[in-house]
Amino acid sequence: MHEMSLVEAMMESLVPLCSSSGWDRVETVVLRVGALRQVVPEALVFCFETASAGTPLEGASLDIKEIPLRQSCRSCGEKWGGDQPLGRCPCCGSVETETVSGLELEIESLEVAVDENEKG
Amino acid sequence: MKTRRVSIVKSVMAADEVFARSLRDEMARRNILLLNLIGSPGAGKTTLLEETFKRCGFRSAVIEGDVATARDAERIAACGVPVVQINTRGGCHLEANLVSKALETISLEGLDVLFIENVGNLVCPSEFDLGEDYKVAICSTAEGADKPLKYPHLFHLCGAVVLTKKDLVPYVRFDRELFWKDVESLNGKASRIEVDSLSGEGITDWVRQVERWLDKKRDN
Repeated sequence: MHEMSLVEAMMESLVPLCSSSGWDRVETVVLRVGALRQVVPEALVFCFETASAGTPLEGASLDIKEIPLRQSCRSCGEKWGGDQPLGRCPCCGSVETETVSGLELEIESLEVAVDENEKG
Repeated sequence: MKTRRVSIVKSVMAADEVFARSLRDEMARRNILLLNLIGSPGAGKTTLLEETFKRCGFRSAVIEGDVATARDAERIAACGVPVVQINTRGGCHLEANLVSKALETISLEGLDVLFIENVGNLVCPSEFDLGEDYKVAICSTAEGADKPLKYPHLFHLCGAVVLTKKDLVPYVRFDRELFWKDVESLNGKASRIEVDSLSGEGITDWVRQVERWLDKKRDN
């Protein structure tokens, strides 16, 4: 259960960003979470609701996009998904494989609200 | 009230990654190999370190991560190796900011290898970058051969898998062939080492692996 740590880290960067950018409220946080990351969406949402109370992110919805796993072979350039073994190229048998996507844990975008009247 | 979409693309853990980067830079500057040992409670992480220190020629220090007590640190200190204990007080993993703070109390002068023994847990510790050169997955035969596929993130990312308590194989119905086949399916590059720390069998293979990593780091 490390979701609270993730949410705390997210708050640490987003709360100051809200005040420096002049946003009154954040309505949506769009996250990209790779298939290989061990993140439980329900736990992340629960922790977010708790940690965002009293901040400009209170009440915002978390939109979690799961990014599928993609591997590629450094030897022959083959690309494949999570249905095949990750550690060996299904084409040439090389173990020089790398994860192209599936390890993301990123904030992609925000939907923010600004009170026009207040800001003039 | 007007709403708009703002694109930011920023790592969720950006704040902690700053600490991980600075640890990695410092280790590179000082030519110290940093290893992050990850395994379940009772996998034999501390025992592996104790036996390593009886047989290795490299100069080491250890950062011990535990929820509570300084028992592991006391065992390492008894080997004559500098050690600092981090108690996470319930936290299931170490983070780079905690490691940075712990390093303020230990001298890095003249070190070859810094071992971080993470909190016993196969899930959360593998998610946090501590600035290490390699993560090492430590799994005991008593845990069962199904662990790599059940915890793929760690086994996919690690530089070596150390299978401990190999002497228990006759008693715990451990399918060795399946275990290593699953490790390979997740990570064909990871070194595969089997040890029985109590008799010392296999410890030399592990020590040689650490030396190879150290040589590789210092050649670059």
